[in-house]
Amino acid sequence: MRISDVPQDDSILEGHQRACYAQDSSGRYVLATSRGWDVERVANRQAVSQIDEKIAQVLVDVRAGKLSALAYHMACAHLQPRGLAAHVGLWAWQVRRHLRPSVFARLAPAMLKRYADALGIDLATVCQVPR
Amino acid sequence: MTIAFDHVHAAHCESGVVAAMLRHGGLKLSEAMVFGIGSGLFFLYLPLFKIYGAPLTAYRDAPNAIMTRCAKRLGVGLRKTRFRDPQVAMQALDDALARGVPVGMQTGVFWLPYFPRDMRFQFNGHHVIAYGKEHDDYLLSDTVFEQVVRCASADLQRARFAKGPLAPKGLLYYLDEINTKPDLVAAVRAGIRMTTSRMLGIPISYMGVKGIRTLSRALAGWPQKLGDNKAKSWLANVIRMQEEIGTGGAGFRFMYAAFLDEAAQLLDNPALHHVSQQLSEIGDRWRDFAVAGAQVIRDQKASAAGYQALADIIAECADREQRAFAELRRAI
Repeated sequence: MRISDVPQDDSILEGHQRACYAQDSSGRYVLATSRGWDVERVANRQAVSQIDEKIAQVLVDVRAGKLSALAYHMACAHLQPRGLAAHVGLWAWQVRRHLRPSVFARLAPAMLKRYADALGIDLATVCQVPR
Repeated sequence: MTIAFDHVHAAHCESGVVAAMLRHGGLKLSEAMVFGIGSGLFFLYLPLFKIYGAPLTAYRDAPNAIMTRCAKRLGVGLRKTRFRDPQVAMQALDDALARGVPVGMQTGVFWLPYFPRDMRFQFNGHHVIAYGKEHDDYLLSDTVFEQVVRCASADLQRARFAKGPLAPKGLLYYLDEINTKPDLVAAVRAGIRMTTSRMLGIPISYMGVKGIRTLSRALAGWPQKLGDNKAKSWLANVIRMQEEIGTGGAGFRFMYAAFLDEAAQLLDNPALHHVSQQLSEIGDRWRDFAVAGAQVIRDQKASAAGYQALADIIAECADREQRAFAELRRAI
């Protein structure tokens, strides 16, 4: 890749610049900066939209009373029950149980606090989903 | 409390961190040299090991391998500590900073708030350097960013104790006993030898050049096997691993070409320069694959022929890499 070929598209970098390797006019490699590449934006969008769809689906289920608010926050953190369980220090089956609204409603504040800390959100937020 | 530390902007986190730490200790080496000496280049395609539902595809060797090999080959002490207790781990970080030692850390990208939103994925192999602390904020030199960044301690702690594959377990490390006059020629030779043997010699069809061929064969069948949407997601995953996650372009191929270019001068071996040129051209083909792949993802209804064309480019890359690394093996 020549320096003149280094893409400078508006992409996922939000104004940051990424370092990449390109050849100058004499063929020597130098570190060039790129504002982003349309190709990587397309690939990234495919991945992000899949996660966003999953979050939207969970949100519908939470509002319909099929899943607890925890399911929504778990999806937002890109986690599955097994991953969330590892973060909180529980077994996966315990997290799966807590995805049931009836069980989640009875959880002790201390347990909710553990989820809040692991997910980096505050205690009140764990029990809610956005309107 | 701030340590005078020169931030290095690099293409890849781990090689950038090692280059920056070596420079801090008085040994000036480029990121590409660190990457090459640490035998960073590789290819791995594991269809049964899924990340975000798509097969693990990597253009590089395992996380932490670069720094371990690099330290060994340069005769530098690499002190690593993992922790069970997050509080102890944060205290150890503070203690190191108080002693004036900039420390590297393994972190989970998802939990680092300074990353652009769309780049925050659950990936636990990201490396950053801490060089100071102000109030509750740690001052970080994250080499994939052009400037230094800040991170609140609660966020950093979460990132250091992210769970799942490659869990960092609070990994802290620093270099000491830096030999400022290492035997670079021997280190470069050892690095290249390992890369050629790993790219060509592993008798497992998911690794090295064989892995590239396996990906090529598999990819051609994705639209039939997976359906349109999932095939696109798997394809997007390959492109992201090649371009998005800080590879310097073309899945580290350009960075390795830069290393071979430097190595050719150091060893006074024009054959290395020739391989460097070949790898540049192969890298351009990988970029062609990414461009064509993005077009397939954009298309409303992608055709099997589109995937076959992509598979053909990858197969061509495999053949050319086979020749390039064989030449490299003879040249060294």
